[in-house]
Amino acid sequence: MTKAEAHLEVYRRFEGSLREYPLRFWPIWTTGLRTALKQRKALALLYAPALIATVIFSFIVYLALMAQQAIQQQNPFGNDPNADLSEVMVKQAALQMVQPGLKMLEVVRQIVGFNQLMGLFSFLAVVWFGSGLFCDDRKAGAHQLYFARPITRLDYFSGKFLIAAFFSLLAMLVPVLVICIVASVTSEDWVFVKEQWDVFPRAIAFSCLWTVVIVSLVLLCSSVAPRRVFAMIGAVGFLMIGESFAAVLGQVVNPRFFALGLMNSLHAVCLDLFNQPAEHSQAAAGDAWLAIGVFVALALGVIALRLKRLEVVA
Amino acid sequence: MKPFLHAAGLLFRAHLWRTLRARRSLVAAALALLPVILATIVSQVARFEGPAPIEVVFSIAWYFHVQTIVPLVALVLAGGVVAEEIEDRTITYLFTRPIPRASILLGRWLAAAIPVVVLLGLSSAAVIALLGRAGSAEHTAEWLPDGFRTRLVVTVMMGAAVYSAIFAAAGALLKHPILVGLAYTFVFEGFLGNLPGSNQKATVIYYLKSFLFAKNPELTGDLREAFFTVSLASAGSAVRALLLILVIGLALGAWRFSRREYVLAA
Amino acid sequence: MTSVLACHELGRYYGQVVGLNEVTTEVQGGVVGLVGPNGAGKSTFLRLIVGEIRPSRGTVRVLGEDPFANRELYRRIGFCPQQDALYEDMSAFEILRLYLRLGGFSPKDARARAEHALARLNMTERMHRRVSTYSKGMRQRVRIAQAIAHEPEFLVLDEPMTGLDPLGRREVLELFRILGANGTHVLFSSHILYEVEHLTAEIVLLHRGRLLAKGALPDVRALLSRHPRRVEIIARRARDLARVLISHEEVLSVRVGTNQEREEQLSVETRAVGPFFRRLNAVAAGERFGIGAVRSADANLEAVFDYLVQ
Repeated sequence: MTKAEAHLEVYRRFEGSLREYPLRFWPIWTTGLRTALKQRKALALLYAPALIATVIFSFIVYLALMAQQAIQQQNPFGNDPNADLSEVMVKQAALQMVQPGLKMLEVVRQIVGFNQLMGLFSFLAVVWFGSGLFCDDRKAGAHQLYFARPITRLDYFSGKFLIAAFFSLLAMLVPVLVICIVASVTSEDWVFVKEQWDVFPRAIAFSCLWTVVIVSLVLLCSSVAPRRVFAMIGAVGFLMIGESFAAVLGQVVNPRFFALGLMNSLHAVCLDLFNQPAEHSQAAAGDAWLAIGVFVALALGVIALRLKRLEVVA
Repeated sequence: MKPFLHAAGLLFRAHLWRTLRARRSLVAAALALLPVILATIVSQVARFEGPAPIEVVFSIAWYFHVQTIVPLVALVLAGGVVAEEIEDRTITYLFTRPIPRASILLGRWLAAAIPVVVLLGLSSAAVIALLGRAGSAEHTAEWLPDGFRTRLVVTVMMGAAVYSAIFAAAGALLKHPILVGLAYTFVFEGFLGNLPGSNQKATVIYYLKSFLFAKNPELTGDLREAFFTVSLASAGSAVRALLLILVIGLALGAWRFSRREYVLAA
Repeated sequence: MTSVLACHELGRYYGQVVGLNEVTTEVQGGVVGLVGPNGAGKSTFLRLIVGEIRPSRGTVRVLGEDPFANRELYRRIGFCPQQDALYEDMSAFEILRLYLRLGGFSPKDARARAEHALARLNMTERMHRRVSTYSKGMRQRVRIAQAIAHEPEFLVLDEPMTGLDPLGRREVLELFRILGANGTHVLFSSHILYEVEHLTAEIVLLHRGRLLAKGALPDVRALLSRHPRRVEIIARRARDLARVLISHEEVLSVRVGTNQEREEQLSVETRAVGPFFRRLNAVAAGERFGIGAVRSADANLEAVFDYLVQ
C-alpha cells in the first residue's frame, strides 16, 4: 500500500500583510463599463438624441449670443447727432421688442430646457444599462464570487452605482458643459465666464443630483426584481405611476402633492438651482427638495438592506 | 384540434396555479390596487359634496387605470409567458413533448390573461364604487349613468385581455418583448393615441374609448383630449376590432413560435 | 432495418462559430457513448437529433424522420438536456405528471408512470417536495426520470452524470444498461471516459465539430496503426526479459522502469499486438522471468481519445 505524503517544501505559509488597495470599487466599475460599452447599437440609439439636442441647443446659444452682441453694438442714435428722431424711436422700439425674445434664448434657460428634454433619454439610458446590475448578478450567482473577494458591500454598491451614473452623466452633464463652453467661447471677451461663471457649478450640481435620483431608482428596482426585465418595468412603472398619482392628488387634494412626481420635483429643483421663475413648475421648490431627499434616502436604505441579504440568500 | 386544445388546457391548469403563486402576481395585485388606493384617498380627503366630479373620475379610472395600470399589469403577468420559459430553459421539455407548439403559447397566455382580467375588473369596480359614494340622492342622478359604469369595468377587462395577448405575442415574435411592450404602451398608445388625426385608429385605446363612450358620447366632452378626438367607432365595431386584434396577435405569435428555433445558453 | 439515427453532412453554425461540421454517420442502435472534449459539438449534435434546433446544412433523421417540431416522433424519443432547468415551484411528481399528460397518457396512467420513473431513480421519498429544495444530484435524477417516464424507443441524454455522486452514477449507468438490454436505444454524452467504456463499446467521438471516430472501441483502436500499442509487463527479471523481447521483429521498443510499488516494469511498444502476445506466451513458458502482470496500457477510451484529439 502506498504511504501518504505531504510536500511542505512546496507550500509556504503567507507571512506578509495584504496591501490595502483603497479603490476596491474601481475594477468593478471599469469592468462593468467596458462590458456595457460593447453594446454599440444601444449606445447609438440612446445617445443619438442627446447628440442631436446638444448640437441644436449649442447652435441656439451661439445664435442668441451673436444676436445679443450685434444688438448691443447698435446705437439708436447712430453716428449722426442730427439723425431723424422718429427713425431713432423706431429703432429703440424694435430693440425693446427683440429683448424679451433674446432673454428667452439666454444660456440658463436653454440649459433648463435641455435638462427637461434630456431627462427622459438619460432615464432610458440608465434603465437600459443599469437595470441588470444587481439582479443579473444575483441570478447568475456572481455575487458569491464578488463577496469571496476582500471587498465590502459598499465597494460593490459604489462600483455598480458608478456604472449607471456614467451613462446618466454622459447624457446630462457632458452636453450641458458643451453648451456652456460654446457660450463661453462665443461671448465677447469671455463675458459669459466672467458674469455667469456660476452656471458651471450649478449645471454640474443638477446633473449630479439628477444622476443620484435616477440611478437610485433604477438600482432599487434592480435590487428587488428577480430579473432585468422586471427591473425595467419597475423603474418605468414607478415613474409613470408616481407622475399620475401626483397629478391627481395635486389637482384634487392639495397642490403640494405635485412634488410626489419625481419628474415634477426634479424640474422644480432645476428651476430653483438656476434661479429661474417657478411659474412653469407644478411643484414648489421646498416640497420638491424634501420629496427627492426622502426618496433617495428610502431607495438607498432598501438597496442597503437587499445587498446585506445577498450573502444569506444565495 | 382536439390534441391542441387538450395540451393548451393542461398547460393552462398547470401554469394558472404557478402564476397565482408567483411573486409577480403580488406585484400585479399591488399595481391593480394603486387606483383603488388613489380613489380611496381622493374620496376621503377631497370632501366632495357628492360623487367625485367626472374629470376626477376620468383622471383615475380612464387615464390612470386604463392607460397606465392595465398595460403595466398585462406586461408583468403576460409579457413573459414565452420569454420566461426560454430564459429559464424549461422550453426544451415542452418542445420535446408530442404537442403542437402553438398550444404552449395559448395555454400559458390563458394562465396569465385570466388573472389579469379578473384582477383589473375587480380593481375597476372598486374604483367606481369608491368614487361614486354619493352625498345625496339628487347628486347620484347627475353622476355617471349605471350603464356607463358597467361599461367602464368591461372596457378595463377587454383592455386587459387584448394587451395581454399583444404582449404574449410580442414574447414569441421579438427578441426584447418587454422593452417593445413598454415602448408600445407609453409611446405608441400613450402618445400617438392622444395625438389628433387618424393615427388614433391604430391604437387599442381608440377602440376601448369607442366602446366606453358609444352609448354616452356626451361624456367625451369631459376628456382632456376632447378637442382632438376623431369620431369614435360604434360599440359593435369596437368589440369586433378588439377581438380581431386579440386573435390576430395570438395567431401571429403562435405561428412564429411554431417555426422558430430557440438556441438556449448552456 | 431503419437506423435509429442517420446524419448526412450534418452541419450547424452559430454565426461565425462552427458548432458541427459535415458529420455523416449512422447509429443502428444499442447503447452508444458520445464523447469529445469541451466545445467538440456534443450538445449541438444532441440538440439537432431531438429537433431543438435546425441544421445549417445536411440532414438528420431519427427513427427515419426529421425531428424538428415532429410531434409524433416525440412519443418515441426521450431527451434529458444538459441545462439544470426545472420548474422550481413544482415538485418532481407534478412535473413528471404534467409531461406525461402532455404525452397523451390518462391521469391514472400518468400518475403511475411518474411514480415508477421516480422510483427507478430513487426519488420516491422526495418526489412531493418542491424542486427548489433539491440538491444538484436530485435535480439530475428528475431530469433523467422525465426522459424515461414514457418508455421511449430512443433515449438521448446530454451529460446525464453531471452532479451525481459515485453511487448515483453507478445507479444511472446500471439503469442505462438495463434499458439497453430491454431494447431501448440509448445515446448519451459524457466526459467520464472510463464510465462510457464500462457501459458500452460503441462510441462516437467528436472533436472541434467534426466526427473523429465511430464504432466499437477495439475496432477504432485497431485503426490507429500509426500509434503502436503499449503493453506493460511487471516481472522480477525485467531486464532479462527485455533482452529477449527486443530481438523480435514485432517489438518496436522496450523501456525498463519502476512502477509506484517500486517493482520493475517493462513498457513495450508493438505494432502487432496479437503476434506479440503469442510471442510473450512462448517466452514466458520457456524461461522463468517472474512475470507478475501484463496490461495493455492504451486499449482504453482515454488513450484512444488522447491519440485522436492530439
